[in-house]
Amino acid sequence: MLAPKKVVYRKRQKCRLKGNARSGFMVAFGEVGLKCVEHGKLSSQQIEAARVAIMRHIKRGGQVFIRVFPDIPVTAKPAEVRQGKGKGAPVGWCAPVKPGRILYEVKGVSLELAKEAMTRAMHKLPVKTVIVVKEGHES
Amino acid sequence: MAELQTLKVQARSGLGKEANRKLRQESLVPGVYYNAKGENIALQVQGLPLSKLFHKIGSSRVFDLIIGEEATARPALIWKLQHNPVKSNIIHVDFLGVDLDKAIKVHVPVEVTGKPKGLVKGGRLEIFRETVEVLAKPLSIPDAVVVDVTDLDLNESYLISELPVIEGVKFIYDDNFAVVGVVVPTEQAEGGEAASAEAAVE
Repeated sequence: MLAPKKVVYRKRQKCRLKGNARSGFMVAFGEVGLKCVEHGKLSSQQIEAARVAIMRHIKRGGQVFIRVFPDIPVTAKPAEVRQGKGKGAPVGWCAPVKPGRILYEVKGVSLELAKEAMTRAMHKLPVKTVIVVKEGHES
Repeated sequence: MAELQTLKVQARSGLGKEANRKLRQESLVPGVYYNAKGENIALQVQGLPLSKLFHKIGSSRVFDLIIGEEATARPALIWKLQHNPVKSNIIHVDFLGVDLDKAIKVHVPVEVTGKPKGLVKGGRLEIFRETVEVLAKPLSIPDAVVVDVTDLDLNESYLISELPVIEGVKFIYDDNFAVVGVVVPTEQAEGGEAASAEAAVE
């Protein structure tokens, strides 16, 4: 799973999301992309699950690009612990995404196969997404 | 010479966020026309004809821009388009006025034809550069640089210096980079053992 190699601070505040993506909203590396259309946070497990779903469907020959990276630590308190006594321990990483952000891109496979693979990835993600095709590759 | 496409636009007086947002609500796209002489005109254009024109000519073919009731058309290029991040509709357009006798630098898309030899041997065709920069007079700018890749074997590529010569067009480059090639595909990991997150969480 994706995670930073090292960080300056182990714990940080949750990010509050508003507005649309300011960058990373065009299909840049592949031919078909998966665009997020609502705010949300993707855990590293969800990003990996969607990637595996795409890879298993396109099998060999294609290339997959992951356009998000989970670099925000997520913390949680143990079960049956009262509130207070400080912030919980880090349990994982997440990637905050804004509407418009391209999450995955695929290239080197047929348009139909790429769309099917992206549909499978959609089901693994906690945010609404749409499939977008790069200009000039529609047919 | 083929007849140029035409786009009619209106000059706009309202500037800034508020005026432009109102325009977008009426399916109009705010834009600007500028040229090398220093002219700078704020414009508004209907969204649908603009996107149809862009799909037809892209950003490398000259068209006639008619501003308001002007009698003479101005040759121009669609220089830059800004899109809405979510809906992908056009929110702003830049038109560059060109002098038909002066060569300009412009990016032209690369297109490939044929089936490479290396593809049969298990290779993958890779287009390293989707566009190349060329210097040409506006009416000589090609729609695309077409590269025949039939003779490409495994681990072979065409450099920019090896691209087919087009009359009146000069490729611009500092390094002689590869434009298109056939590469041996590297296997991407399918399972979930790409990296261990647990170590980093600690």
